[in-house]
Amino acid sequence: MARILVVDDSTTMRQMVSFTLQDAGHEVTEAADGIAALAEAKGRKFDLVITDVNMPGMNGIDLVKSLRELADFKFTPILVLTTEAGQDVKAKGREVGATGWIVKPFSPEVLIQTLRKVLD
Amino acid sequence: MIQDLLALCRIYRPKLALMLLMIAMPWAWAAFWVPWWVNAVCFLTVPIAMGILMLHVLPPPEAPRRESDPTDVPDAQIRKMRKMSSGVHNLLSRWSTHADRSRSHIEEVSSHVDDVIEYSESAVVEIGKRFVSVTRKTRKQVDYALAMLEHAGPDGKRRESRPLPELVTAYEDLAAKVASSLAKVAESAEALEKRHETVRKDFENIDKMLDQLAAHDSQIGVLALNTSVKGQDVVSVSDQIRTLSLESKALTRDIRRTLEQVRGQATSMHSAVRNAVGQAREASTFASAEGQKLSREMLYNSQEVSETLSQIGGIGNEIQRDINEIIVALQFQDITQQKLQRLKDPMLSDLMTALRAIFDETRSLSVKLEGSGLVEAGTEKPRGGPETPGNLGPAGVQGRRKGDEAVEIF
Repeated sequence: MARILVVDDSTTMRQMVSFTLQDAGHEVTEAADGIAALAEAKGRKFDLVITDVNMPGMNGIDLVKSLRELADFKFTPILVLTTEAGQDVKAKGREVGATGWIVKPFSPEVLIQTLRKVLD
Repeated sequence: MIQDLLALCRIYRPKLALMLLMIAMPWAWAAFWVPWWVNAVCFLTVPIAMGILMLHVLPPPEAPRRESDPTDVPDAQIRKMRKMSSGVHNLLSRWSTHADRSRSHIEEVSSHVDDVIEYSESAVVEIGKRFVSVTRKTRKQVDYALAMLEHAGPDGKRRESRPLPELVTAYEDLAAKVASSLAKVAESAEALEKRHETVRKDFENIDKMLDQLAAHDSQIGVLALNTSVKGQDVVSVSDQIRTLSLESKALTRDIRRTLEQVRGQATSMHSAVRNAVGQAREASTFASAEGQKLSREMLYNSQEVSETLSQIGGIGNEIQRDINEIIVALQFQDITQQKLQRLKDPMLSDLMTALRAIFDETRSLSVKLEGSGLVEAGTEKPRGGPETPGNLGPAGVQGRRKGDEAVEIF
């Protein structure tokens, strides 16, 4: 069982991801934007972070960048779950330190498989 | 004012060069005798002077009356109307630009809204289908479970094996029968033990009687010895011998009778043992056959239960897949909703700005028309209260035009 931080401004999407992850036996913490996620990340450790890109306040790319600057999240896997599928934004994500990129809508099986790969 | 000046410039275009020459001639004449800065001031005042001339001094340019012009309207008013129409033309062209931009935005929004509606509809249909599928499969699972409880197949036919409770009862019956048989065998063994005790006592009696016979035999030997050694009276010896012989005869008879009894006991014991063995064998055979039958049925029953559970599990997996599809469909719904939200804000605010600009310019034109005396005051005044964006109505248009009312009374 892993502790996972899910960051998305859409409540529906957060719930879908949480439902899938909890169903697979993981412990999930939700955050509605980058700033809230950063506050959560500073308070406790997580085994994995899943974040959206387009969010109010702080976007996903900036969040990944900020998380990589924290000592606890230097090597923590960070997956980006977004509708953005362009190569430019993917390259930007890779550049700031994202571990993987999943394009929405996600299939629960694919999400779990990716999660296993990343956590192993 | 600048717009008016530009309009007049267009009207006076053929005479602009002449006017420039007239205004600039005095300056041109004095240009060589005055310092440079006076030249610069004069040069700057020329267009200002031209503007003042056109706006306030010169009468509106003469225009030939057209046949379509109304005869009762004086020439001056017609000229003024034409002058105003030039300004209106500019306004209308700006209007047209704003309207074109707004229209394209509305069309774009409309197209996206159509897409969103289409996606949402298909997502809802998909979710509906999956829910129906999940419901049906759950029902099927329940049917299987109920059939398993009732020990029938999914088609309602009774299964070949007996249900588990019946099998348990049958096992109990079998155990009771075997126990009953064993109880009978135990009774037989008990009876045998009693008979064995009787036989033992009979043998003890025989031993005693044989001891007595042996004693008689010794006595007879002693008598014979005494007779030969001591020369006892033959008659008395003979009496004693006869007595001993009679006793021996009686003992022999008793022994024979006892042996007969023992033989009888042995025969009945043999018969009882045979009966007990028969009963035990019968019980064993019955228990073995029934046990095998019941075991087979139990095995078959457990296989059937296992198959049913495997079918229920398979349907459970299908339900999981359906739920995954529902999750994907819900995400489509959410993504389209988000896209629409992101589209809505910049486009609608742009549209509102354009409509506000149109509204302001319309208002300004209306005021000008009222001031010109060409229209009666208030006739073209927009209805709908103060000029706030909130009062522009749902489409950003002030008030309703004729024919647009929701309720129209003729």
